[in-house]
Amino acid sequence: MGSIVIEIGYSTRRWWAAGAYLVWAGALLWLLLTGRYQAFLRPGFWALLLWAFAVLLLFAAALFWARPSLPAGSMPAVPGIRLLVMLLPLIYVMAAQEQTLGSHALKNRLSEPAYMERFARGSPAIVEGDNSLVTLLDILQNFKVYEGRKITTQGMVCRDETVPPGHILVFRFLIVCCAADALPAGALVSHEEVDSFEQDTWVSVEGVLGLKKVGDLTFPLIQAERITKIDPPKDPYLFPRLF
Amino acid sequence: MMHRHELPIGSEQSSTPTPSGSSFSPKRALIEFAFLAFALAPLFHFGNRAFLGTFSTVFAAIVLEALPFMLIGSVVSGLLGEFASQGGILKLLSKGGAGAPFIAAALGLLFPVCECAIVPIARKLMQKGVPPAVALAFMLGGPIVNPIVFGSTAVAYGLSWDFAFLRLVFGYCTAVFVSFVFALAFRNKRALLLPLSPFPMHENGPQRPSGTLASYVGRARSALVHGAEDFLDMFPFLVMGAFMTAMVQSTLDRSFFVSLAANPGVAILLMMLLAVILSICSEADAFVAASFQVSLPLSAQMGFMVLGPMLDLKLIFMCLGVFRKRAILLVAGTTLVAVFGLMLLFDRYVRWVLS
Repeated sequence: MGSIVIEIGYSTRRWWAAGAYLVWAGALLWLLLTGRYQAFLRPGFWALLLWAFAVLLLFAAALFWARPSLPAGSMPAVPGIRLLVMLLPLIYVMAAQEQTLGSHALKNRLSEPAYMERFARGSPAIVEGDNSLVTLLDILQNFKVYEGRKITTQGMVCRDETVPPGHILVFRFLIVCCAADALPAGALVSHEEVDSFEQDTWVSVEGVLGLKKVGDLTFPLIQAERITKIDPPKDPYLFPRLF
Repeated sequence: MMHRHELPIGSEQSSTPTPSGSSFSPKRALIEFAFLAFALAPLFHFGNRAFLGTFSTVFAAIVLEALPFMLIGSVVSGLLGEFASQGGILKLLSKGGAGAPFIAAALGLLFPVCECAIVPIARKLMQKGVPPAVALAFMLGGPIVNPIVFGSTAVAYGLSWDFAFLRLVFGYCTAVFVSFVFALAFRNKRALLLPLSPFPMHENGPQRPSGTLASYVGRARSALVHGAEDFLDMFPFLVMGAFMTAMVQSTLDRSFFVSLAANPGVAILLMMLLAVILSICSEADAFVAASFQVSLPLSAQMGFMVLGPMLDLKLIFMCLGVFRKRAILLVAGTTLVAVFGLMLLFDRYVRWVLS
């Protein structure tokens, strides 16, 4: 009788675990179909997420089908708490909805921008005439190409005590694998109306590229002719080409 | 009922097998409950929405990035449990001996997996009778001594193949060294936990003749069950480690570390500490290390890249599901000392070359 009670409780716990796998599989499918995973990972990760989705489905099916064999008197237990811990990241996936890394993350990750040369595996943008639309990564990789030219670029606004008066820092994050390894790429922007742009607003900046030293760090400087507020782009991050 | 050729993870060859199924640990349940209560706190963000945005993004990103690799590890672990015979590499590793750690630390060259995938595989190797010290050599060496990490390191450092090769050498030497220290320290002591698998449900259906399609399907299904068990056992530890890492990443100013790094020894130590708390995947950490090229010596960057894949917050949490605490402390301490010593020598060498 006792073993029957254990068997029923055990099966229930197994089904709960299979249910947790299904919830995770559903969440991955949603992230894949909406493209929302790109708020956390580089685009090429879709294949790995698809693999994870398939394996989670298989695991769930295997747990549903499995027949337990329990030694008499044993007390197997899968605490429900463990399953809740397993589902915890999904709560934060939802909490991160419509948010990307912004100026809060920037302050923790700001270092010497010269390292960007290390990402210089991609071809520089083709410069034809004036006012090319370039990314902040292009600017850092190929500064000499664009220096003194009129360019247009896009990024988020950072304004704090470290940014010189009359300037804003326009930045984006570069991601190699996931948001945990994100590094900032940025340029100072000077314009008489910079004060009207709020923190973390997405802007398009049009102006002439130069350099400015702030403390020990040297930043690209765009002397802006025009700054326009824009909607966040579909891909908020930049993904350097590795090979 | 134990599986074919399989030892319970805590048995370590010489000890008495314990019955499977005794998986409930009130202490672990209490820890998980406390963690869960603590882990929901950032959602209230106390008026700091920017913090919640950074924290949620980094936490979810670490888990989503690690998930596919951990599933690879769980599937391989399940397949190893069901299909791996006692021949070949497994036999070589299981016999132990002085040569085994040297082979195990280099296995990542054949099976390139990162640190999230390697813990379930190492765990299964130990269940199959591979001595813990040898599995440890694979666990520490695998995430560094592998072609993907070699390539990403070279790219991050402007196609510097010699620098990438040095990283592999340092990782390999450290893994072998720690393995030998571990073997000596735990020669007569238990280093592993008791069996923790929450689902001791090995198939007991009708036996099918081996070699038939039905038997292969049955074994494949059994391998999946093993994989699902392993994943369920290890994944909560990954979640806890990722949570702590995201917390640190959302509050710690990296430039603070740079400002403290007045001399090479301090710089190496600080970068090693940073590697532990940032817990960045070994396939991407070279890019973060390279971002300190202007501010910090090469030895400090190398220390970051060698220690991180062997010892970081999420790995420490995952090891809590495999090793006893004193074993984790020994491995952590020995790895820290070994990497620090190697990096001091490397720093001397670089300065001698440059002078």
